[in-house]
Amino acid sequence: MIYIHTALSVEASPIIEGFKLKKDMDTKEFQVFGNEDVILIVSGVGKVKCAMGIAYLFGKYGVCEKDILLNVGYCGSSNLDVPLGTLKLANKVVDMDTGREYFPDLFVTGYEQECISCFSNVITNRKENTEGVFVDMESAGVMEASYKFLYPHQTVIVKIVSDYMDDERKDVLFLKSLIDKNLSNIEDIIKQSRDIVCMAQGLNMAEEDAILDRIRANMRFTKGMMDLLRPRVRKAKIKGYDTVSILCGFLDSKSSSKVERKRVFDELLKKLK
Amino acid sequence: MSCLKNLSSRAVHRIYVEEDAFGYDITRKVLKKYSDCDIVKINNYKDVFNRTRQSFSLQKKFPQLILAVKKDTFIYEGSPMCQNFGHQSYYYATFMVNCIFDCQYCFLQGMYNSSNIVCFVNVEDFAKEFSRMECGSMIALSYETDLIAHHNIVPYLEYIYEYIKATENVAFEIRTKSANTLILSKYMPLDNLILAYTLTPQKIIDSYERFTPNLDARIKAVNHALDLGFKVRICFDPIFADEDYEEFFQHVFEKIDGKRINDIGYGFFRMPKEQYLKAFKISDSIVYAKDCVEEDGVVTFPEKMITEATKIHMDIIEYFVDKEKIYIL
Repeated sequence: MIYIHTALSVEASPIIEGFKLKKDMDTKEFQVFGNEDVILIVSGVGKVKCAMGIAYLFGKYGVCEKDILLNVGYCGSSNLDVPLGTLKLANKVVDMDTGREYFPDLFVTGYEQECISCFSNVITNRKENTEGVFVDMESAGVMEASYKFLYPHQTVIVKIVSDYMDDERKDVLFLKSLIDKNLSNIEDIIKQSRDIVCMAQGLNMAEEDAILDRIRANMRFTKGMMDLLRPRVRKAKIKGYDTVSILCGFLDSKSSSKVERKRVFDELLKKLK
Repeated sequence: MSCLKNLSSRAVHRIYVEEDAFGYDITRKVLKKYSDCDIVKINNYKDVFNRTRQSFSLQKKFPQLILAVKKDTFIYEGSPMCQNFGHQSYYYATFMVNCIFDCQYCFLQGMYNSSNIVCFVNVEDFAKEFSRMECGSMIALSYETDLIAHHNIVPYLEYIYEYIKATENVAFEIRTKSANTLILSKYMPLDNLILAYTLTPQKIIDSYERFTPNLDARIKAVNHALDLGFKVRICFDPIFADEDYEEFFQHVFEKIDGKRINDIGYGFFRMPKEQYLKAFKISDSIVYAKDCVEEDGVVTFPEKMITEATKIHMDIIEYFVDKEKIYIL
């Protein structure tokens, strides 16, 4: 699943249109949109709301090693030479309240990479002492949630320069256009991230795990038995055994007594040896 | 700021640099060499290296460098699972952590959360400790890495050679699988410097030692080092008790004159249980599906297999190399 987080509706709407996402009417706590591959949440501004939103998504929809978390949002730049609408990827995030540094494992290429300084307040003074020259209000929250639930290569922080840390108010249509113009870049970043996540996948034990769970239920294997069994199945698969067939041979077994359970367990271990 | 156009596997594409590391010569050289890399300033290398959930295998495919300043401890006491080669005490120094090679049986597989390569830039601080070591001890300089293999990234030998030369009463071992013969020509052999080459059958190299040079290239490197007058140690370590080695030993000693070798290290695959279990979780390698046993917290082959294999192997090795020169663990 591709999880996309934005703080504002104005950041989200070009993505919702571009990816043809539909509103999840069952979710009241946040605005959530989705299709088969993508789920987008609009969390509200600030790192706390952002971390809450992401944790909510992961709690509701689940999260695994194949998922990707993208934060798409505006950032301010103290460098007037950087054109508005420039897309930046974060290779480091600094929480300016705590000084804590976060590092996504960024393997996406073709885009400028920067340190993003995350503030709790809107920064309108360009002389503010920032670590780097790009500021936002969510990236530290994204990384805090990411460190909790994901591997660091599963998170990409996409920032689009929207202002020069001044008081000037921007037109909503103009702000939308900044994201709109970067939609194909966002698609490319998602595609690259998918490839990277695939490369990181280890031995796929999903089928074996599902069968094992059924055998466990039928045989009432204890946790200790399962802790012994799972590595044996993995080892057998590495050795090249047809582990699915071996396990399927035990699907009809039922536990009628402790003795029977032990007998089946030993037989299973023997087949995997 | 940087804009990486192509992320080619095995090429360094990002360098994390500790604030304190910028003032060191090694840092300047590395940053000059990799000027097109993405440079990320960090406070402490542990903030990057010790993150709890990292993809070891992905980082192996796309290694990133971390330049840091080592603090507190520079020399560590060697593990009892390593050979001391007759020295009264055995230590190791970690100039680098992790390796560009990907040997699936290596203890580094389960040692750290990250496979990114940490390079400590304050070589002088390590060197100061050399002179404090007791007479007759040995320091392994290539312990959690392969210094010679990394020479093109960070030329540590350039920085430590003079210190090794000045510390005559301590033996230094640089262990490698590299076939880089060019760098040795720049240095004079030293009585207290031993180059230790790990040799394994080509079948093992193909199966378990990703990105390492082939056997014949390593043998060529051994002979080159011997021709230059260096003391050379050959390490048959790790041995897999379930594999055939007879032909391999014959081949090695057909190509290398056993009498010119300083000594031989010989040891079977072994790993602390905790590291073995950690490596087993992340690795799909057949190494971790072998029928090993655990004894006193160490995972290795059953004693019977080891005894039988050792006998067969020693019959061959002792034919070419004096028995006193062979150190068995």
